Amino acid sequence: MGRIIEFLARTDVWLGTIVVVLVPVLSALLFKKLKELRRKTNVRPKQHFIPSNIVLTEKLTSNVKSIKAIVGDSSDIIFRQFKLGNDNRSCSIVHIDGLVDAQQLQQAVLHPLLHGKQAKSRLNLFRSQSIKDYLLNHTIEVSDIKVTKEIDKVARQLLSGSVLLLVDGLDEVLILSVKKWISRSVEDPISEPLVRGPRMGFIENLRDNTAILRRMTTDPNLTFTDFEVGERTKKQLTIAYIRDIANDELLTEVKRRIEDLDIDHAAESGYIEQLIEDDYLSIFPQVQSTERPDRVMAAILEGRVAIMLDGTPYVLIAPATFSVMLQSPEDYYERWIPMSLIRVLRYIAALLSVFLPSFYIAFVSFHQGLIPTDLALAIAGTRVGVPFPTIIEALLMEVSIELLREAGVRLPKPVGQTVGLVGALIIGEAAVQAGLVSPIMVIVVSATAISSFVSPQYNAGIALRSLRFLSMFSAALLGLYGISLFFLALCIHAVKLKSFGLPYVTPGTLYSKEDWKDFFLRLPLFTMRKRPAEYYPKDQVRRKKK
Amino acid sequence: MMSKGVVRKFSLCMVVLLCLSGCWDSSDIENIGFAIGFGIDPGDDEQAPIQLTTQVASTKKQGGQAATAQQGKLFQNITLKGNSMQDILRSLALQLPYPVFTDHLETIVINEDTASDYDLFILLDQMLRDNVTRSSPAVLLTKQTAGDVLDVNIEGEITSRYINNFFENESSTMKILPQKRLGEVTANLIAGTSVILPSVTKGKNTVRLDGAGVIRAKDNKLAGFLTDNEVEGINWLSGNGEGGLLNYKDEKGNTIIYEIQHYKAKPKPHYQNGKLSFDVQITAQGWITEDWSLTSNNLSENYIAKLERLAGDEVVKIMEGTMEKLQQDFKTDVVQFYDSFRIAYPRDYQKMKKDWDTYFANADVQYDVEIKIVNTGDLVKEGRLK
Repeated sequence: MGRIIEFLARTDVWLGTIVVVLVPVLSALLFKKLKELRRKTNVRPKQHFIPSNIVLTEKLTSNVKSIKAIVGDSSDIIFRQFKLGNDNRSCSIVHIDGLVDAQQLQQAVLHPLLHGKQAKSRLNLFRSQSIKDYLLNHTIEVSDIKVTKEIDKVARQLLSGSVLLLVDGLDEVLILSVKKWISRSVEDPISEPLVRGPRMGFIENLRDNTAILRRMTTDPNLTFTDFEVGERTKKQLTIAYIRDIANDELLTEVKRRIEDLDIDHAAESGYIEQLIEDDYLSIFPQVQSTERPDRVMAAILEGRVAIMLDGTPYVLIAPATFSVMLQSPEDYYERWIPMSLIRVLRYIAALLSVFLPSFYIAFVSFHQGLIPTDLALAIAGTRVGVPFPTIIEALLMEVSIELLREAGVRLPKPVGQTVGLVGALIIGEAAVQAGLVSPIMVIVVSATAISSFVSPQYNAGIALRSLRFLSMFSAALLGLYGISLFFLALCIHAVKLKSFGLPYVTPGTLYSKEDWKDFFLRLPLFTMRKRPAEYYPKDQVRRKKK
Repeated sequence: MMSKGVVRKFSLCMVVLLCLSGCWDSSDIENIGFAIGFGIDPGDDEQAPIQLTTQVASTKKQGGQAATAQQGKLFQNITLKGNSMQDILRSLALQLPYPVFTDHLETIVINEDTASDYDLFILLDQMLRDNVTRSSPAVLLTKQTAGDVLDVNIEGEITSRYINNFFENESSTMKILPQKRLGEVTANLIAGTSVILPSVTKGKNTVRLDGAGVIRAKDNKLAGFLTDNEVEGINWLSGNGEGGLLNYKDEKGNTIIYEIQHYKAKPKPHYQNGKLSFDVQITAQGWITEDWSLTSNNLSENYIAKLERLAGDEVVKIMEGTMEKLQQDFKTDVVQFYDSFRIAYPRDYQKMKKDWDTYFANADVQYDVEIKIVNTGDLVKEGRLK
């Protein structure tokens, strides 16, 4: 008893206790605060980009005036007034120059309207109800026609490329879809090239993208649901899923997050990704992004949900796990034995790209005894005369590699190659010759750079690249012990992380042998009889035959 | 809830602390002297009874352009006297500009006189207590000055590593004892059994393995040396060798070389009425790799059976010679017969453990050798050749 009291009276015990209690509590508080940052809302005054007090009337001139008032007098908006057929009724079409197929407009709309005959018709064209019927049913040769009274919808449709037809005496507007604008042709996706597989990538036009997906299946259950994002810009966003496979809860969660997101302009799907992801503090991407239609198709057939935004070829897929980030569609296109080996190689490469420089640092400046004697002497020999400690040397090299890489992306193609060459020469030869770095460091850094290129998913690759620096610092601080601590922290974080309710390290946490068939290895297709259980698909069976 | 300022200050403190602390053990690899070998010799006076030669790899010379030139020594030997190993090691700091690390220690060479004057345990004590030194360095004896042995300059080699690498040749000849590592020596000393350590001698510009020294269990001191041929016998008896050659003569005096692929030695102990005896069963498989008799009937079964019998006789002769020396001169069991006895008679062994070497010296040993020739080589001669 006395010894216990004596123990409790010691100041170092108390100090230790305080540190042990305070550090986790304080860091928990800190992170809570950081998390709250995201939930903080700013009150935005209700914005009316289109004055809602304007009402359409039966008078053409006043309607045209109202539209002019809404869209201003931009030079690209064309107002064309004419008389309907042999009738004396005034009509007006309004459209945006450049977003309309001029030839189709002329042939399918203007021509029939201007030459419309009413000889056989017994209709009284002067009654507004029948003029609408006449136009819709007899005259206009366009399939997609909407009729509406709502002024804001009219304005939005006009601005997205539809043709408005206003007729005197009608308090509604006919919205004709004869859209056509310049768009890129379908090309091989540059960020995810494959040796084998379709040479087709998404493009910037959402309609074309959904069409590409539709072309891949005639399954009636493939569903596209539309949303509008961007308070001001109102971009079209479509989620794609297979109705009888995708889990309902996942679907409602995705829909809820998309409806909840609030931003005035979503320039790229990256905006959406960052606004709907689970943990903004995590270094890992929690939503997969791809420009490969085959990848999207495979994903939605597994029961995941694709989120497509107009104006970008990058489609988001949710939920995403770490293992997905290291998978390539080619894994399934080639035979299973080589592809399993290549997939294992990818895991090793991911590990190397994070840990190789830090292991070098730890071994060289802390654990010289763990290196084989010959290698230890060789490393020591090459490091003689290098003026910096290992960590500085490693940072120097890593930073210059990252610089080169960044410069390579930005520079125009012909210049980029030269820079790559010069950079390789400078780093590889000159730095060693000048005695700034040791040749072994150059090997380590280049091996790391090469393995970080292996990642099939660009956003996973850059996450690992940033982790590498953290790992290097922990190695420089505490050697192998530091690396282990760093790895543990990383594991704890990854295990806690979730993407749309799915643990990020799935199927590493799920003790399901079914999902392990497609984890480190890619077992033969016939063994994968069921869809991955991790996404809880409604229709589980992929192959019925044993 | 803490105010924002406090949190900010606290995290700043943590960051500063992280930058300041840590790195205690960090020392860059080029600023370290790697001790590769130790040579232990007797000092001349009573104040400094031990003379330690530390072989430090000189990395400074290997770096940069000098590495290609390969000139000069790759190591630096520093000989100091003192009355304790640790004290001598620390005195190195007065001579070397960088700390000496022993985690790459490869070889410990002990002089004959030191080994017969001091308990081996005392000599190895520092290395066993030091948790940086591994238990992997090889322990060897020498009849010459250990410092001189380590001083032999072999082009492009560090002598200690050179010596240690000899043991990779274990499968080429029966005259090499298996490497005795520091850890194994200690295990033997603690178990109270005798140890046999390989011995090394220096020539003009060479070093070579040469026989072995026997450390008796009674006082852990050197009992004496065995020659190369007796080492061969030790390997046959203990069964620890990896294989090698058996050089013998047929009845006409022609040299025959038998190459042992693998062999087994199985001592069978018998203990009755206080009388200890061993039946040593040897089985070996191997090839004939050289035959000076130029006989035409290489493949005849009779001939092979004759060679097998002659080989067996030779092995018995070798073993008998070695056993005689072990039992009569040294009275030590370094061929691990105690192990088989311990397994067969565990209770008796507990009683006999203390004076096992005496029991061993008085034991009767019978030999039963079975040599198999599985291959006579590709050479098939027709009868025309003599």
